[in-house]
Order: sequence, then structure tokens, then C-alpha cells
Amino acid sequence: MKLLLRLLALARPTRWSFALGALLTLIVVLANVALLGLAGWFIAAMAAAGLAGASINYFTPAAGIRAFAILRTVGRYLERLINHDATLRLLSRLRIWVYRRIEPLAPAVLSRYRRGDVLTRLVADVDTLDNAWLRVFSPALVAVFSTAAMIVFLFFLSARIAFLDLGLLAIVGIVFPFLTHRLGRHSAGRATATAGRIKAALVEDFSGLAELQALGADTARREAAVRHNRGLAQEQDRGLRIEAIALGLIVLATGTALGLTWLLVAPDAARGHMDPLYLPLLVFFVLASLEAVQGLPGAFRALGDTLAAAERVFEIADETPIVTESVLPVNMVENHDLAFDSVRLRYAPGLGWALDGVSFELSAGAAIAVVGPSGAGKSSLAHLLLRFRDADAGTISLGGHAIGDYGLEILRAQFAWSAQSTRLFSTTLRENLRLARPAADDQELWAALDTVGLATEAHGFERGLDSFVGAGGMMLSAGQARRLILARAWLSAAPILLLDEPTEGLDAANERALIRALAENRGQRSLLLITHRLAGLERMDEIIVMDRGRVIERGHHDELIAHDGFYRRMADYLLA
Amino acid sequence: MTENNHAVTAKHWLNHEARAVRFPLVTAIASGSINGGLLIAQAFLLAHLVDHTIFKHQSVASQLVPFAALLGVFLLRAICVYAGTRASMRAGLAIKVRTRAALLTHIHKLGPVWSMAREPGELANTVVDGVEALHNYYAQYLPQASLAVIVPLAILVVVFPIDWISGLILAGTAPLIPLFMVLLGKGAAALNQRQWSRLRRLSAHFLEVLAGLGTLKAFGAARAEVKLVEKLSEAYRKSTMNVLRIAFLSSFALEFLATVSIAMVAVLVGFRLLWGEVPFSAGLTALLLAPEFYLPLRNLGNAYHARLGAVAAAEQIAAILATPVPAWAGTRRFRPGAAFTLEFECVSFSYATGPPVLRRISFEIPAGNHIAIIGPSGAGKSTLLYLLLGFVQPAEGRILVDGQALETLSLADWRRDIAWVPQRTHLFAGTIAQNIALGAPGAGRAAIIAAAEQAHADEFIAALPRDYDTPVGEDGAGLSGGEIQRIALARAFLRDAPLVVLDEPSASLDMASEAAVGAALKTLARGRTIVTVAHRLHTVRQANRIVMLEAGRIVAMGTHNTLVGHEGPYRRLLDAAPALVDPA
Repeated sequence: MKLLLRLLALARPTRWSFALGALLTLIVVLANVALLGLAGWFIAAMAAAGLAGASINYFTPAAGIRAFAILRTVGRYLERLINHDATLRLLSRLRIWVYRRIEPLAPAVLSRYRRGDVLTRLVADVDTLDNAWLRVFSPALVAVFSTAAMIVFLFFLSARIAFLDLGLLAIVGIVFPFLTHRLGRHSAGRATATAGRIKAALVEDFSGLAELQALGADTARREAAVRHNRGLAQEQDRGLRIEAIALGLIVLATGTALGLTWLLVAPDAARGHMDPLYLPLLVFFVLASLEAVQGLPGAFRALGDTLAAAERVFEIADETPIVTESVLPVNMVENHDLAFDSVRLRYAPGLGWALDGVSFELSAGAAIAVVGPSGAGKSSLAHLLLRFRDADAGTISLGGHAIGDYGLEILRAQFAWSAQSTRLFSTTLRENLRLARPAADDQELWAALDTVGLATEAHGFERGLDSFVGAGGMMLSAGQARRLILARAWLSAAPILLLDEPTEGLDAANERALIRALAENRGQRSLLLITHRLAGLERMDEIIVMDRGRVIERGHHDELIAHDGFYRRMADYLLA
Repeated sequence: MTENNHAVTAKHWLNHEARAVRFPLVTAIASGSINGGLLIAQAFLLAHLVDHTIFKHQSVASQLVPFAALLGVFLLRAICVYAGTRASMRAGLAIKVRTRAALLTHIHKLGPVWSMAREPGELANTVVDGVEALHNYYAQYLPQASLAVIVPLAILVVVFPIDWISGLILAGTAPLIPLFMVLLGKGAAALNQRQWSRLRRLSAHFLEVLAGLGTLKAFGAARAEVKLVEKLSEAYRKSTMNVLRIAFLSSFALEFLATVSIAMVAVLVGFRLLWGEVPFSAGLTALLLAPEFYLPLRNLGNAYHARLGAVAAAEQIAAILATPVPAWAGTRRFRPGAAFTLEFECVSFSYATGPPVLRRISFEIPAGNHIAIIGPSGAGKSTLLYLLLGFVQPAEGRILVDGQALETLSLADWRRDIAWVPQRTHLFAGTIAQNIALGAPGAGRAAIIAAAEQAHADEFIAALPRDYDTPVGEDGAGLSGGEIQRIALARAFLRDAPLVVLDEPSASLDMASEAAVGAALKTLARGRTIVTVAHRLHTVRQANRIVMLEAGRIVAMGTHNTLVGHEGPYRRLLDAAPALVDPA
């Protein structure tokens, strides 16, 4: 209930459109009942007049029939337009709402949800919520109001038929859907869970297919998937059988209601308690009244989806950001001396330390490299500097202030960051680069591409800077995408270059050339280079070697190579 | 293929598959038709009851027979509805079971080289959600499409003799309805293709923005992006509404036709009743049947969405199933007692649409030798391993195993003699023990532990909360790269194959794993033939022979000492490597 109210609150700005849409739907339903009821009465009255040779005012009912027919059709058309328009309006509002809620959480809190495509699901969930009005609220509202209107009308003709119709609508609109939902919930839940398990297993199978085949384990895995697939069909079958039974029962209930209508009205008509011409009216009315509750079974089904989607969306949206901005932020960075002092970090209380007492300094204008195997904690350093998360212990200072003292935007503007996890957006080369410096002209863009060795290739692209890079840079090779990300960071005016594995995917010769270009052309900017490879590191002022969250060696390249340690062993790697 | 061709193939595939569920579909259509006949009977009985009550002044008691018949008709209709719904549901379920099994078999036959080029999550979505989208095509659209012809025709046949004017009205609108259905279909298809693809792009953009939030924040652009989301959504709404205004017109016309015809039937029947031209029961029957005439058509309109979704899904499914599978012809039993020699004889290979990856490669691997394959990325090293593992077959040339062509051997037999340690090992959901025993499902706990000990994995496994029964996820949650590597080595030990194919990690492992993996590899190498794609100078030095590839060709071959001795590609490679004092 709380969830539903919260959902309704989100739809507040579009409430008048939705209300109008519901009103039109109501008119469409009532126009149909009126049309058929009136038609039933009309032909009976005409027949009676014909038999009696009496005159009759047929203009009014005939006009009414035509009017209801047109009202229904036009109402339906307008209702569709208005509801679709409102739905699309709501979609953009929902997205903006979700975006505003999630923006402060990225990327640290979101990374907790990384598994199972949470973002993909979030986008789908927002779409589900967007449809909640049309699939859940509107049918319920229309059912209640149209039933009320019809029952009041019937009450004036025959109280017993009014109760009979109410009973029929309650059974078809509420009892059956409720029972179907209750009885089917178990198998529906199990079917969803089975489908999820099948999907998870298939993702494993497809990504590890090479190993499965090499190990001869593929047949067994495939047979297991086929078996689960049959199990899924059985679960679904159970739920579907209940639905089929409900459909049959609706026919039976309708027949019973019609039979009872005749049984109740016929004796009254015979005894003159009721105008016999009402009989065809009531028969048509009862038959047509079912349209009022037509949307309810679907609403019951959609309700579950909607609530589940709402729960997931609110769960993420209600997360508290783990990084908060200082209330009285420092908005001036006096110098760019950077220092880590005994910094510790872990990603969750139960886990080991990702950084375990890391200390080093990067004075303004200097160049240092942090090296170590993957999992050593190198990238965590960058995340801490950008305040995607905060250290559990120790301090990081920039220009004499703890980094937490600065405003978030000011702090982040000090770093030109490139990493595996930074993204390319599905737009042009130019727009991707300009993210770092919106005012950059083509000459500056080409200069940045040239520094990272991408200019020649980019000149070869059919549309040059206007070439599309595809979602996540898909249209580029992995190496090109890495260099474009690097060029973007390079283009940024930020005084500290924070480059995380910029040479991944390059061969040794190109890697060396790139590091040289970066080191030579960086001007006054400081360089913090994070890498697990060693090409070109002779040029660094200092090298910090990390393993499992600790600094285990540090010094200049020549010193580290001369000493028989981890750095020396890393140097044993021949090439990428 | 163009977009249109895809849709044609998809429709063809959908119809072809319908043959497999012919029986339930026919049952569903038959039940629906009988239900239609009963509907007509129901209209006659109702009209009879009303007529006799109002105009013939019959008592309730004298009409018990038609009354009972009416109830009986409703009972039979309920049974027909149940039976028809069940049959059509069964058709949907059967298609799903069948298609998923076919997809899985086909994807497995297409093999890892094909699947590696695809996003595994998307592929799984096609198999699970994509196939699910087929359900309503068979369970709703196909039976409805037949019933939308059969039931209105039956009603026409009945209405004409009892009231030909009403029959004419219905018959007059009937041909217009398929016309509007086509327009509706066309409109919906246009809407589908244009607007849905835009909607998908819009969703994709939203997803992209959410996924790229970190980047946007780092560049201080996160707050500006919300404006873009808003602008795009608004532009999409406007263009969609323009399309919808037109698209809804055809359904408006359909609805208008149906409703106005019912009104016309009522009004015209009324006047002829006044003039005494038709009996009341006939007029009432015609009016009762008029809404039922349009109902199946309206149902078909509703099922149309199911069709659109199914065609979209079928495009992907049919495309996968139509991808030709490389056949492995060999069946010869292969059971070598001991190590065997391998020979590449003028082997060339290229992937479907690419340039040659390997060009006339020839070299020999004597039994028990250690071969290091080196070269820059893209040189063809991995392809060489895939050829050995039977994931792909040479386009030209042969691979000989003890003198027999590899392609003549049974693939299962051949793979039983290879242990492969990939660069990036996949762990599967399950326990550590299950993961080690992946290639040897019958292995007992003792054998698993022995293999782990040989792989120097026993120590870290014992330190885990539930040691060998600790569950691990797909990404090996909590295990370091070096630890996962050692589990892969344990797999290889347990497999105990005479040929080991090794893809060395291209980056250093953590300090603890470096030593352990090195020691384990030394044990594994004893008495086995080893082919390594090598990244470490250490490994290369130890090899009996180095095969250096560049752009698909062998550019150098020999031992470290011979190759380093004179100017050539190998020497140049070493010169580019980090300055290293020679420990030798």
C-alpha cells in the first residue's frame, strides 16, 4: 500500500491527464452498455408498437443509439491519445527522478549492485512503473466507477437484477482474478525463479563454453539446461491451467447470471410488476456490463510486477550516498601537492583490506607510477582521489587540505582521469572528447588524438571527428577505445593526470612510445600512472610497487631492477 | 540482409515451427469454432426465451426446456473455452521447450569461437526472454487469426436467412475490416520499426548515462546530463504522439465500423419490427449476434502486439539457427597409450569474414617437448590453440597426431587427451570441488584434493570458510586471479592428459601466487607435451622450441639461445622488453 501511494505521488504531475484518460475510458464503457441496453429496449418497443399498431417516438432512441455509438468510438480514440501522451510524459519524469536519486550514489554504491545487470533491470523497472497507471490504476478506477454507475441505473429498474449484476461483476472482476492470482502465485514465483536460474546458468555456459567443451563438460551442462527448461514449462503450465479454468468459469458465471435474469424478470413481467420491454434491455445490459471489469484480471497480474519493480527501484533510490560533500567546502586549491598518509580501505566490513596503510606523496609537477598485479589495490587509489568513496582510515591531502574539505566538483576538476571503467558514450569522437573540455576546437582535439597515437587512425575514419563510436565505444577496437579515453583525459585542463592502465591492449613498442609521449608533453601537470606493466617506467620520478593493498617496494626503475624483488619478477614478462 | 529480409525470414520461421504444434493448434481452433457455433445457439435460445416471455406471454414453467438448453449451452461453452485455451497454451509451451532446446544445441555446435564474439548475457536473453516472447504468437495470435475468419463467417451464414438486411450490414463491413486490419498492421509495424527502435535507443541512452555516471561525475558533466535525458524524452514523446495520432486512426476506423454497424443493425431491425417486416425473435437474434461478429476481430487486434513481439524475437532466433555449423567429420577412436607427436602441416586459417589469421604454418612438436608460442597480440597465437582444441578447423593444411590427420579423429576422444589452462579461467556456480572436477565428474574427493595439492591450491582452499565445499560464483567472488589460476591447474592435474595447452597470464599474478603457480607448472610439465602461449621470459627460456608468430606467419623458430644469438625479430622483441639484467 505504501509502495502504491509512493508510486501515485510520483505520477502527481500527470494526474490531470490520467484522470481525463480514466474519465474517457469510463465513458467508453458506459456508452457501450447504454448502446446495447437501449438497442435491446428499442427493438422490443418497436416490435410492441408494430404489433399494437400504435405510434411511437422512435427519433429519440434511434438518435441515442447513434450518439452512444459515436461517443464510444471517439471516446476510445481520445482516451488512447491522452493516456499514451501522459504515459510518455511520466516516463521522462520517472527517468529524471531516478537519475537525480542515483547520481550521488555512483559509482560506489551502485557497484554493490553490479552483479546481475542491475542497471539494465532498473531501466526495465522504470518502464514497468511507467505502465503501472495504464495497467493497474486506470482499470481499477474504471471498474469501480462504471460498476457503481451501472448498478445505480439498474437499481431503478430492478433492485434484484442490480444485486445480481453486482454479484456477477464481483465474481468475474474480483473473486476469479484474486483466486487465480493466489493459486497461481506459487507456480508463477517458481517459474520466474527457474527462468532466472536458467539465464544465470546460460550466461556461465556461453562465457565459459570454450572450457566446457575442452573439458568435455558441455553436454552435461546443456542437458541440465534443457531439463530445467522442461521444468520451467511445467511450472508455467500449472499457472496457465488455473487461468484456463478461470476463463471457463467466467463463461459459466455469465450464463448463470443471464439465466437468473430471465428467471427473475419473466414472472414479474408476466404478473405486470415490470414492463416486459425491460427484459431485452436487462439481458443486453448484463452481458455488456462485463466490459467494466475486463481490465481487472490484467491489473491483478500487473500489480505483482509493478510492486516488485517499485520495490527494486525504491531500494536503490533510497540508498544513502556514502560520500557527502563538506558543508563549508574549500573552493580554492592552492597547490597540487598530493599525499596519501596511512590510508586504509575496504569495500565491505567482512572483506579484507583493499588498501592497507598506503603512504606516498606526489608533489606538484612530478610523475610517479603505481605498479602491481591486478587486485593489488591500485585502482582504489584513483577512486579515493575522485571521492567515489572515502578511506576507512588515514588521510589524503591536496594542497594542504584533506580532500574531503573541498567541494566535490572543485576536487574532481583537479584530476584528468582515464581508466578501464571510464566510459565512451554512443556519440561522435568529437562529443566524447569534448566531455573533458566543452570549448575545445578541432585543432586541440586532433592534438590530443596525436599525443595518444590515434590521430592517423582517426584521419582514416570516413567521418573523422564526426564518426560515431557506438555504445561504450563498440565500433572502435579495444586499443582505439583505450586511447580515445586517454585522449579525453589528456584534453582536460585538470592539473593532475590520473591515468589507470592507459596502455592496456598495446604492444610493447607502442606502449613505450605512448608513455614517452605522455611524460614528455605533460608540461606542468603532475602524473599519477597506474599500471601493471613496466614499459617506459624509466622516466618516472618514483615507482610504487603494491601487492595486496600494501606498498612493498618503492624507488626509481634502476634501483628496483637491481634489487631481486617483486618488481624484478614483474619485469620478467616479455610482452603483453 | 536488410531489415525487411530479417522480418521475412522470421515470419517464415514462425510459420514453419507452427507445424510442430499442429495438433494443439487445430484443437484450439476446433474448440473455438465449436464455441462460435454454441454462441449462435445461445443467441437463438435467448431470443426465443425473451420473445416467448414478452410477446407470446408464456409462463416460466412452460419454457423450462429452452431455459435448460441455454444453461447447457453455457456449460458446453465453458468446456470449449477451457479446452481451447488449454490447447493453445500447450502449443505455446511446446514451442518454447522445443525452440530453447534447438537454440542450445545449435549454440553449442557453433562453439566457443562463435559465442565469444557475442555478449553472453544477450545470448542468454535471447534463449530465455526471446523464446518466451514466442508464447503468445502460438497461444493467442495463430488461433485467433483462424477464428477471426471462421466465427464471423458462421454468424453471417446464420444471420442471412433470418434477417438478410442485418446480414448485409455485417457482410458489407466485413471486407472493410481485414482492410483496416492490414492498415492497422502496417501502421503498427511502422510504429514498431521506427518508434520502438527509437524507444530502445532512448532506453539505451538512459542505461548508458546511468552506467557512465562515474565518468560524467569525474568530468563534472553529471548535472548537465539530466537536461539531455529530459530533452530526448520530450522529443521522443512529441514524435511518438505524431505517429500515434495516425496509427490510432486505423483502430479508430475499425472500432467505428463495428460500433456503428451494431447501431445500424439495431435501428434498422427496429423499424422493420415497427412495420412488421421481421419476427421479433429473428431481429433480436441478429442484434445479439452483431457484437459477437466483431469480437474475434477485436481479439485479433489485441493479439497483434503478441505477433509484433514474436516477430522481433524470431528474427534473432532464426538468425542464430540459420548460422551454418562447422561439422567435425572425424569419428576414429583415439586412445594413445603415452605421449604423441603433433605436426602442423601448412596450416592456414581465417575467421568467416576476416583476413587470414594463420598463413601456411608448419612446425613439429615431438612427444614430451615444451613449445613456447610468442608474438604480439593479433599474431594468431590463440587461433593456433583453438585449432589444437578443435574449436576451429584449418582452412588449408592439416594437423597430424602421430601421423593421423586430426580431423579424422573423434573430437571427444581427442579432447580427452588435452588439458587446457586458459588465460582467464571461468568458475561456474557451484563449490570449489565441483569446479575442480568439472572435466572429471566421477572424481572422488581424494582425487580432487590430490589435484589441488599438486596445483598448490590446497593451502588457500583449506583456509576458505568451508574449504572444498565453499561456493564460488561466476566471477570467482573473493578469489584472486592467481587463486583462480591454480584452480584451473588443479583441473588440468585431475584430467591427467598427455598434452597440456597453456595460455599464460599476460600480467603478473600476486606475489604469493607467482611462486605457487610456477612450482605447480613445473610438476605439470613432467612427462607431458606442453604447448604454451608464453608471456614470460622465464617460460620462453625453458622451452625446447620457441615459435614466434607475426601477422599469422612464423617469423622465427628455435631455442632461446640460438635465437638470441643473432639479429632478428626475437632479439628486437627482447630489446623492447623492460631493461633486464641477464641472470644467466
